[in-house]
Amino acid sequence: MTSILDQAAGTFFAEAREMLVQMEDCLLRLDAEPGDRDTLDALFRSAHTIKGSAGLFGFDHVVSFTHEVETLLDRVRDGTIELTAPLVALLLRSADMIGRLIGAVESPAAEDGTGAARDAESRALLEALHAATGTRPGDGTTAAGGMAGGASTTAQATGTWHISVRFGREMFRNGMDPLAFLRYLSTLGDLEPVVTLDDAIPAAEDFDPETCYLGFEMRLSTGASREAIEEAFSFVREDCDLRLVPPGSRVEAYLALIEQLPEADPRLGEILVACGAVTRAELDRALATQARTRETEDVQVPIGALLASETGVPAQVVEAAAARQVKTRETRAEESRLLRIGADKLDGLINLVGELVIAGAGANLLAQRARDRPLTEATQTVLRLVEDIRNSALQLRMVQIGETFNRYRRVVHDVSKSLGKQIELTISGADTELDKSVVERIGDPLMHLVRNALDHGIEMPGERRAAGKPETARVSLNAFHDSGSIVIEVIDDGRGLDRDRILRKAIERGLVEAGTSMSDSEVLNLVFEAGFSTAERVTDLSGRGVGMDVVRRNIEALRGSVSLSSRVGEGTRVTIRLPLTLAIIDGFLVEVAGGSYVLPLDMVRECVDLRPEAAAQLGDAPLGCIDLHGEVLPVVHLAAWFGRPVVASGRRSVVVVRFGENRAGLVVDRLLGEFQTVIKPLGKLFAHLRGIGGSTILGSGEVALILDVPALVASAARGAQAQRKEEQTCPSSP
Amino acid sequence: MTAADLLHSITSTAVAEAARSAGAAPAIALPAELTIYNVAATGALFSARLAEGGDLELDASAVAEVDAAGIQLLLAGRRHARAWDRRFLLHDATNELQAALSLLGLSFDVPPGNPPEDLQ
Repeated sequence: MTSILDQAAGTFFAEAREMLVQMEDCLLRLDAEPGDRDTLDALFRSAHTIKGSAGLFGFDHVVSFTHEVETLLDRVRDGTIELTAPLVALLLRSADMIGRLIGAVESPAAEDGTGAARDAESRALLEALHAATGTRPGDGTTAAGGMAGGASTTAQATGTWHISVRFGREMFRNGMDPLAFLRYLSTLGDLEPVVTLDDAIPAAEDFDPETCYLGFEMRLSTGASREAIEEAFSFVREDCDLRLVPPGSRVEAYLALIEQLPEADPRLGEILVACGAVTRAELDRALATQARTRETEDVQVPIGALLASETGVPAQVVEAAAARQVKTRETRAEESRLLRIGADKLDGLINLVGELVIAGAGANLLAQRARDRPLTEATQTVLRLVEDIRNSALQLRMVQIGETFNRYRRVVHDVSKSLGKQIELTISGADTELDKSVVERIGDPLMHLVRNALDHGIEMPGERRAAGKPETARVSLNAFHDSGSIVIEVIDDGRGLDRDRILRKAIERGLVEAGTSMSDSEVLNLVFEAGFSTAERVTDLSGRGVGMDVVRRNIEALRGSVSLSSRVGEGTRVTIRLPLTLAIIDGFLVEVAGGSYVLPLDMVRECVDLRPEAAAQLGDAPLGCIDLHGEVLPVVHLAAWFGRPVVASGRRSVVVVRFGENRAGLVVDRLLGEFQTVIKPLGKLFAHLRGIGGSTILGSGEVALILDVPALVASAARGAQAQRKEEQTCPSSP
Repeated sequence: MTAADLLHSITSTAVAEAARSAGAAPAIALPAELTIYNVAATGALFSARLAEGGDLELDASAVAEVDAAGIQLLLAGRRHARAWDRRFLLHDATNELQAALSLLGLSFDVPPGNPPEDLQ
């Protein structure tokens, strides 16, 4: 396929996925409150949209399968079938199948060998759908695998419609192929005859092959409704002139059509005769009557009146339909205010903004060096504007986490059914925004945590009753902002983690030595250590072979952190902290042994001088403690920690950082102030470095390293543990 | 094959033969993808041929993919050839092209020399 078509198909895939999410959402809502009319309608619309769009692209498997789902939903809508819990489950599985069918079209290569299994499953589902709908495959109204029923949402007798369409000039360039629409129409019924109008093609010198000049007059024998036929053109509704004459219309309706169309009247008359819409005798008679009427009365019968009298539709109905059309158009206008933009374009913009930040800092530095006050002021104004642009650009990438959270409703629904547990999922902070790339990559680790909570955390109802807890367990997903990070919590009120069992297991696996004294939180967080996960923990639910260590690694790859707290019998809380964005941060620039380093500004609490006596006590040891406002603060002496020469003389400072529950001090040589930091990843060679999160380029062109404070302090704490064994000095983790 | 078809194929071959022997340019080979991506280039070939004073003789044997833009180009070629009083010949249409043409109720299968069957 070629790129424009790829793009259009890409839009389809994106839309279809949204529709599937919506379907799932509606089904789960209907499960909770059956009979909610709006939800049911929304559900039906989602299925219908998927089918219609898939038809445009000729994805027949998707169309025929979705058609069955739609038929069933239609029966539910008109009240013939009741939406029971097993039916919801069936529809949920069907929605999954539609997703898989679409996935198979999207990336055929990705599903080697699974095709046959999928087909078998899809056949089984179709059987079940037929059984539920009360039709047998191939009994006329619904044909398995085919589309004989087409989009006939309302049972209507077969009739022959006249369809007249003139496509817009930009049709081809917009990646649309009128042939595809005709192909889709021909699946709705018998499309014959078709007359292709090339009258609008200009003379050779004015002809542009990429402009669409085509129009079609055609007859469609179908049982499909007007909506279903119009649906075929829904992609290009704004860009084509579509007129339908319903079956059984009299010749005057065609006369009205002739008047409305751009081609000369006699030519159209001939075409209609050629189509078999009217006979020549009828046409001649009608044209003669019309001419006579015009001569004698000089008043034309309004087309609308003609049409109304022709179709026999009461005026109120016409008015109501017109009002609805206006409303539909308004909704469409509303929708068109949302733009769908390729993520790569946005990334390109953010890269440019990043370069702008660096270039701006360079200009500002030069202005300061030149001691040119007006110039400095000017560059500072530019910098402030750049900062605004940066914020707006980053805002573009921000998405609400709610959509990700909603995915877990389904998981909770399925798991509670299959395990026989009663679980209620509560979500808070669904509107919390974070960077799209973070959202995308947090999905899997979060899924694992949720499944873990459902699978291991929550007890069976009987066990809960015995423990004096309500039978219905509660799992909460919370999201909120906290000091420049986003915090996501997965909380359950299940049985909690057994500290002693974890410690025992950790000792068994050689992760810690027997007899080590550890705080409760240290013990609990051992579950994140590589090699802790055991076969007994990997069930089919939380399985996928992903252990908690992989969860932690994924989260750390996003420059985030994860921790766990739990009380036996009361529940478990897993807390994930993530940076808001991966691209640009507000940094705090410090100098250590002649080199520049950046700390995330959000983590900096305060800066204090390193007093001479504390400096003397510290010496050139990499780790130590100082007294901060009467409390012990563990500090990392960065110069010594990095193995750089320690300058004993001169004024040094301590930057107090806070991350989550922890506090620590970093001893630096000089404070250089705030700095907008464009994060550049470190090369693969340095990927294993702990404590360095990336690099950035300063205004002067120098490279500065960005410190990953939590990782740095954690590795320092481990170093201190080793040290402590030898010489029981002060503890270095808070 | 009906007698008319047979006659047509004989005459069209004969005319093509005659044109070739008279030193006319060879048939324009239509591309494998007669779609929006190629219509500009192919259309330029048509215009050049008409400007040279030649007939539009098209070899459709390679057409494997066709869209409405491609069909429109053929229709335009036929209209323009007629306007310049030249012949429009399309031979060896592949199944893909035939299928598209029949969906649109079109046929280029007309004896050369006669005005194409049309509704005008």
